[in-house]
Amino acid sequence: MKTIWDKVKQDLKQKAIPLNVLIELTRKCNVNCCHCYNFKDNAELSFDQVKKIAVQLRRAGALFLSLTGGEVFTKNDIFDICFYLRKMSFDLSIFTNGTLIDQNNINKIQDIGLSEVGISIQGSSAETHDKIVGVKGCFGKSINAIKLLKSKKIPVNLKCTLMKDNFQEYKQVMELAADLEVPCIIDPIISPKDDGTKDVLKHRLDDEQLFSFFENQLSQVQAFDKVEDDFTCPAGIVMASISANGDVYPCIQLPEKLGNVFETDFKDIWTNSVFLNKMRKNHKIKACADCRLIDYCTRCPGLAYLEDGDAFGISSIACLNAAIYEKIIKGKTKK
Amino acid sequence: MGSVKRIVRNNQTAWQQVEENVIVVTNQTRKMHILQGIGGRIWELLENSINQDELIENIQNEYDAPPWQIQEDVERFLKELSEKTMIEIIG
Repeated sequence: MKTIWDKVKQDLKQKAIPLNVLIELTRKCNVNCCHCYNFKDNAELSFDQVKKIAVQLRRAGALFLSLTGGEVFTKNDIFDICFYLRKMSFDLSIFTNGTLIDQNNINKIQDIGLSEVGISIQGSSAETHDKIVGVKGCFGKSINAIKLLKSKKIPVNLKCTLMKDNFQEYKQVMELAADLEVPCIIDPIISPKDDGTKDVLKHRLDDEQLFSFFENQLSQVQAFDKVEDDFTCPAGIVMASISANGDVYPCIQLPEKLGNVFETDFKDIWTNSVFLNKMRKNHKIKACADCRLIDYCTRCPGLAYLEDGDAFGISSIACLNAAIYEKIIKGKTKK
Repeated sequence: MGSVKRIVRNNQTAWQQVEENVIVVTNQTRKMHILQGIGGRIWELLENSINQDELIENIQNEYDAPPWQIQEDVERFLKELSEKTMIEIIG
């Protein structure tokens, strides 16, 4: 039976209300992750610019804001921004590496009323984590941040990007999260850089590692739900992204610029974008129409765009993943 | 003698009005609530701290139902919002 929330969600989707917006506050970062997709141009939004964006987003129907970077705590005005956004009644979460969270600012962080803090941890040991983020001493600081946030009852989760460099210890990362009593999100997706270069993809898991990881993750899953359409992804429908220079994208992983909030009101961009309206039409991907793997496909339009050049075309990584899923699920069924 | 109870939205909530629905998220419980119709109108009236009697009077003036019925329903609704940590009833 459908709940009221199910009906409201359907309505939001049909009307393309941007309920979830990710704001890239800054591209400045105090670490140098080997797999980072970001430009290194130090662009960032000022407090005044964030205020302008917030007013536009409120008017467009946004409720859940996620702040990301770069590293958001490198901004001197981060607390002004957070308190302002909470005063405007947005639900607010933050993605951070946690290295700048300490005893001196934890009470202030608690006062914001964050719904979630995601801390990136790239290994179960200081050696692995610090090597991936390119700065010694980060692991201890990030773990300390998780403990401090927990001590203040601020919802926190551990986010790990799985790659060749940390594959050997992802199960220990899960154990670490369990020890810290925080949820653990392990994601094997590595995206090409925003400037279009793909050298970071060398960190991606190889097929054997992907198989092993998915097999472990799918150990509780009996079958995939049939994919109803090719654009089950919320990007461009109920989810938007705004970059550190005010550019609007359907998703941070789908860098098709739709407009800039300092030139055109967000709602106008969101409503009138030709690209978004094409996405929302929910049409089938022609090239995938007869694919036998469709039931296993978790195609991301952003990765299709970044890697294969067409958000409405085949995603080679999705094809690879789907083949692995099929092999695992069919293998389970045979047993 | 009238009630001196004042009603304020819990500042730990996040909310947004999308057409006829008000979506409210409570930070403490991480639950999402949908307010529709009169519920949404009451939430709107709570924009600033308001006296409970004043709130009821506003609704009585706006909706066509026996005043006693509206009073009962609004009081019950406010109690529910308070239990769900969406508002604070002071006094």
